[in-house]
Amino acid sequence: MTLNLFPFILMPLIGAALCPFVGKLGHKYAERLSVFILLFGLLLAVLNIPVCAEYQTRVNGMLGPAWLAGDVFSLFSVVMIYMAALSVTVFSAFYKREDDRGALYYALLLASVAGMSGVALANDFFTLYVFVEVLAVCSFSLIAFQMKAESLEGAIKYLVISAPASLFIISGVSLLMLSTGSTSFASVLSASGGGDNPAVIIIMGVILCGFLLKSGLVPFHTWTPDAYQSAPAPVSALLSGIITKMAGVYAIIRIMMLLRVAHPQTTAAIGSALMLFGAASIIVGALAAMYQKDFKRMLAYSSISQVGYIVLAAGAATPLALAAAIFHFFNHATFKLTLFFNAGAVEKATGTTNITKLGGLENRMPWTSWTSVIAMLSTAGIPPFSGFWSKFLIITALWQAGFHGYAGLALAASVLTLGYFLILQSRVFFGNLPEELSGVKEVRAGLLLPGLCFAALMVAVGLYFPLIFSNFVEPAVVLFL
Amino acid sequence: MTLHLALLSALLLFCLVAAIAQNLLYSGLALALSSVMLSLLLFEMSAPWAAVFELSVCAGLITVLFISAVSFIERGEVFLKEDRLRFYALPVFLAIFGLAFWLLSEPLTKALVPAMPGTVQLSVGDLLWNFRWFDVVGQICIFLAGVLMIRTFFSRSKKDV
Repeated sequence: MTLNLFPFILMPLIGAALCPFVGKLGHKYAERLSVFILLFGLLLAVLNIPVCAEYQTRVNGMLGPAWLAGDVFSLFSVVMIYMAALSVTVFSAFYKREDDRGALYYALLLASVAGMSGVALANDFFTLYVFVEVLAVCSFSLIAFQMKAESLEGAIKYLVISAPASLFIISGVSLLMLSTGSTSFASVLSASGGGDNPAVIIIMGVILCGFLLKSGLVPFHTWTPDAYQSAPAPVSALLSGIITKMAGVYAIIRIMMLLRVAHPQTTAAIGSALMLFGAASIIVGALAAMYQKDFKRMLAYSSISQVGYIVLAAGAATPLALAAAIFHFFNHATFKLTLFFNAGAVEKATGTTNITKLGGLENRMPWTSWTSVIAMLSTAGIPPFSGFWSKFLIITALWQAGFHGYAGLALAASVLTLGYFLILQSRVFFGNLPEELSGVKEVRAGLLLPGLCFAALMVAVGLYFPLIFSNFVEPAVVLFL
Repeated sequence: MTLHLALLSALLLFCLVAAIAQNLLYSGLALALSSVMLSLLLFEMSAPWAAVFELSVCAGLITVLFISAVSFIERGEVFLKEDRLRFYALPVFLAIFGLAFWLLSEPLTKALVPAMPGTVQLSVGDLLWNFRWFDVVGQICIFLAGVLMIRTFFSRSKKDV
C-alpha cells in the first residue's frame, strides 16, 4: 500500500484557480468552495496519519519515495495547515463582507495552502525553495491586500527581508548540488561520505540562515510586528499561526532531523547556534511584548518568543527535543490563531486594537474573553492546557541533554509570558469600561466559532496528552531516532 | 575564461544599474540586459536549455511585465526627492563581497567539492517530467500566485472607482 499525498497540493491549487471564476457568481460561492476543499483535505489528512505511520514503518526507509516526503511529520504539518486555513476562512467569511475582491482573497488563501502543503511534502531542498517562494508571493499579497499605507509598508518590509532569505537558501542549495550532485534531503546524509565535514556545516549553515530570516527570529524579526499589525486580523492569524512556521521553522526542524542521523558533530555545532538564536528570541520577544500598546503587535512579539522555544528545542536535536519542538509547533498554531481571532473580534466590536483605549470588555464580550484566557494560559504553559505539555517537554528535553542554562531560561521566560498576557488581559477585558465603548456587544457566532473550537482543542489535547503524543507526535520523529 | 569574466562583469554592471537607476524604465531594461548576459554565460557553460529559458522568460517575458507595470504608473503626479547616497554604497558592498569571495573561493571549493560527480545528460522532457515534476507543480503555484497578486493590486474595489 502506498500513500498518495499529492492531492493535498492539487486540491487547493485547483481551488485557487477556480475561485476568481466562481466568485463572479458572488464571493459567497468562492468562500464555500474554499471551506469545502479545506474541510475535505483536513479530514483526509487526519484519517491518513495512522496509515502513514504504518507505511513509513513498513518500508523502513528514511523518507517516502520519489519527490513526496511521505512521513508522519509531513502529514502532521498538512493537518495543521488545513486546520489553520479552514479556521481563517470561516473567520474571514464573517469578518469582512463589503470588499468585492473577496474571491481573490480566498484564491490567495488556497494558493498559500498549496504552497505550504508543498513545503510539508517536499523531499528535496530545491523543491522546498520553490514552494517557500510560493508562500512569499502569497504572503506579500495577503499582507498588502487592504492596500492601505501601513499594510503596504508591512508587505514591503516582509519582501525586503524575504529576498535575502531566498538568496541564502538558493546559495546553500547550489553549494549542496556542487558538493553532492543532488539536492534531495537524502543527499545531506551521504554528503562527505556520511561523516562530519566542514562542507556540511557550510552548506547547512547557509541554508539555515535563509530559514532563520524567514522564521522572523531575533535579530531578523523587524518585519514581523509591522506585517502582523498592518495585515487584516485573519491574515495576521494565518501568518503567525502557520505561514511563518511553514516558511521557516518547518525546514529548521526537518534539517535538524536529517543532520542528527548522519552528522552528529555537525548537529552539535549548528544546534548550538540555533539554540542561541532561539534563546535570544524567547527573551527579546517576551520583553518587547510587555511594552506594546497594540493588541496585534503584542501578539506578534509573543509569536517571536514562542518560535524561539521551537527553535531552541530543535537546536538541542535529541529525539525528545524534536518531538517537543513539533508539539509546540502544533500548540503555537492553536493558541496564536485563537488570540489573533480574538484581536480581530475586539477590533470588529470596538474599532481599535490599541489597548490603552480598551478595558472592561469581559462583561460585553464574555466568549472572546474566556477563549483569550484559555489561549493565554496555554501559551504561558499553565496546566492542564496543551501548551503546558509542550513547554514541559521542551524544558525536560533541554535538561536531559545537559543544557541546564537554556532549560532555566525557558522556564523563566514562561513567567514573562504569563506576565505580558496578564497585562494584556487586564487592560483589554478587565477594569472599567470606557464611556465610548458602552455600546459594545459580543461579535457574531461565526467570528467566535474558530476560537471556541481551538479553545476546546487546547483543553482536550491537554487532558488527553498521552493519547495525542503517542499517536500523532511520536510517530513524526520515530524515523529519526 | 576571459569571455566568462567579461560576461560576469557585464552581468554585475547591469544588475547594479538596475538597482541604482532612477528611471524605472532604464531599471527594467538593465535587468533584461543582465538576463541576456546570464543567458550567454549559461550557453557558454554548455547549458543551452537553461540559457533558452533564461532568455525567453527572464529577458523576454519578465521585461514585458515590468514595462507594462511601469506604464501603469501615472506620470507627473508626485515626485518625492530621495537620498541617493545610500544607492552609491552598493558598488562598495559589491566590491567588498567580490574580494571576500575571491579570497575564499579556493578553500571553499576544496571543502565543498571533494569529488565532483559525473554529469548525466538528460533531455529536458526527462528532466522536467520524470525527475523534477514536483518543481513544475511548484512553479505553476508561483505563476498562479503571481497572477492573483497582480489581480489583487490592479482590480481595485468598486467603491474606489
